[in-house]
Amino acid sequence: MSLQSFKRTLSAPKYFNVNTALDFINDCEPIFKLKGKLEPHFLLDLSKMKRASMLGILLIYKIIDFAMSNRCFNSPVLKYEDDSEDELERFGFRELIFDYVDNAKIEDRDYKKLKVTFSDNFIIAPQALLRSEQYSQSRLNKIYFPAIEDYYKENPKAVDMIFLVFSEVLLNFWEHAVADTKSIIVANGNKQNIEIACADTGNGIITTLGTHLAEFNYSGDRILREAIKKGVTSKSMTNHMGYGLWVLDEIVTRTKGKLHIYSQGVYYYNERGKKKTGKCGYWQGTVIYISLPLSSPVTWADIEPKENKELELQINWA
Amino acid sequence: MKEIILDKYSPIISDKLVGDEIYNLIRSELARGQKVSVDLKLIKSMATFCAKQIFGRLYLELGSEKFFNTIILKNASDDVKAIIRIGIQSALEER
Repeated sequence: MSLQSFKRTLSAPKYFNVNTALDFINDCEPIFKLKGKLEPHFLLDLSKMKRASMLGILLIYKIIDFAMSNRCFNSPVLKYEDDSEDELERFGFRELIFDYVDNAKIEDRDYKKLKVTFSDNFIIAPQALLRSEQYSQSRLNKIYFPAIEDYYKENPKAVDMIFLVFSEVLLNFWEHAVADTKSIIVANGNKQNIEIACADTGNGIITTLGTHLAEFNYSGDRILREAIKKGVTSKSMTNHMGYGLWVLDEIVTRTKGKLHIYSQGVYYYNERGKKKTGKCGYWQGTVIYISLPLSSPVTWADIEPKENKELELQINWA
Repeated sequence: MKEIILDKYSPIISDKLVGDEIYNLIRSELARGQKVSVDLKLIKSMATFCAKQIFGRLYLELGSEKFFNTIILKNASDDVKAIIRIGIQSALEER
């Protein structure tokens, strides 16, 4: 089938990384309106992709997951070349993505093939987040985190910072992206820097927090800025404290890292402390990407408000 | 004194079900009239949600004096201490 015959094409850019992710997310928007449409003649064109970051690969996986799980397309076609296939393979996603396009359905067992690998001094660590059983919890603590801790063992404070980020990203996913039953969290890094990303197609920050802030009639980007603030949560008077996104933002600022959040047509960027929100293509759910330099890690002991440390709480520490 | 070692939940506590499990473990021992020592040696981090879910709730339910007298938190790193303080403080603010 020639390119001209396809009704709809989604293309991955030549260099698919954090700088080109926004364009791809913009291009994904129409797909979220195609639930149940079984639209024919769709092409996912990865052939121009020469090099990808794990964020790019994660976005490719997640849009395919959404499209196939929601019957957006009938018999989609995947086009790729050696370079693009190699990139999918490098991050451990080749089989998953190929199987999805071929079979339209992926079982939990297919996700269990994802594993931590080491290549050219990089650690590449994808991990499925499956809600169907305790598999993910057990694997995270017994295999995934120990592998990351071992890789960064010469920098124990960096390990603490990385685990802080994971604890909040994971909690946010488990508690807020409830509609998403199959997501993947990925980490990729070397001794100087680590990237962590998670993408879901659940309810999205704008919907969950927007309901809570309905009386203010805020725009989407204002809602996203509110979500980053300390103490703002969609579930007040519960165990949710509204500290998760705030502490990630704080760590990124202090380490001069990057935090990119995309959700339901808006984005938030914090790059080395410079913050920006804006409009983008609609992504059903939330994409969160963090990049952290590891030379001067920051943890809760550095961030905890001074007044908190001085509280007269009766805690018996031993 | 009943010792509860949280090694099996290490290195990160970031799940509501796990938080419930730990809370219930501590609570059931306290209900038996036991003092409890919670060993956090291998816990490197905890979601703030879980800190409030476990320790914030216990602090509110027991009151500060009983919390201090019946629960010992052992081998917590500075980071974990900070997270627990934040969780307790948040619970107190919503009281």
